[in-house]
Amino acid sequence: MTLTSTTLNAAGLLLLSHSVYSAWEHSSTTPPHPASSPFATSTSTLTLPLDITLELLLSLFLLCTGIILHSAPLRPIRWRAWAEQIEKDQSRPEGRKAIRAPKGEMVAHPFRFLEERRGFLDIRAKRMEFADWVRQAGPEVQT
Amino acid sequence: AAMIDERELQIHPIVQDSMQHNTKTIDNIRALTSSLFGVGAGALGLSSYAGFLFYLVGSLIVSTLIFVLRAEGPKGGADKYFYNIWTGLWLGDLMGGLMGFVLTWTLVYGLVVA
Repeated sequence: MTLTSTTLNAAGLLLLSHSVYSAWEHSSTTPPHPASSPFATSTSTLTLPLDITLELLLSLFLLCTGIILHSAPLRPIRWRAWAEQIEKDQSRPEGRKAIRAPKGEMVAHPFRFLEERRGFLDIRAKRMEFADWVRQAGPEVQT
Repeated sequence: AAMIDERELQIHPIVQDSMQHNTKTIDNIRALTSSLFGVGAGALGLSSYAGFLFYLVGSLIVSTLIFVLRAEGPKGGADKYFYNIWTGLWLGDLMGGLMGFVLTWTLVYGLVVA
């Protein structure tokens, strides 16, 4: 995606500068319209050649597409859809994630706290684990 | 209507971070593209209403491109990325972009045409 947008932007900028230069050259080399009075300042509105106009419009379109493709993807605003994306992102490799966090920032899982609630700690299982560990460690810890 | 809105928000909560992120992204795109439209309008030698019409048409095209390329088009649903798609996308930051547009429009018009 980055390659596409960079190519589009580069091509658009090249065409834009070329067409603006062409327009400037055209307006500076074309003599003023004889029919217009010497006090009228703007005469070149309709006299710009068609190819320059088309090149300009095409370059603008390329640049717009490139800029939009280059921008960060939008994020879903409903909590439900957002959490779904983050959940899916956890199994995706780096670089293919749907939500790109800015540098030095993390997009946290919104339901992470559910996994870490102290009130839901299984104290009996922990006690059994501890007992197993004591039994395995041998007599020197069983003082 | 307010009661229904409130209930709807409780059932489907909104993520403020995502809304801010989307607004910022749209504003960035608008600022960049509208300055470019100003360059275009100036080089074409448009003046008065024609220039503003150019800006409106260009912004509409940009909004459509965002809608198709970034918001999954009609299949994504209007409310997946925007709380209100009219103020969020179609009219989003039109006035802010207009400033940049007029700035580059007058500059390039002055350089190229006059």
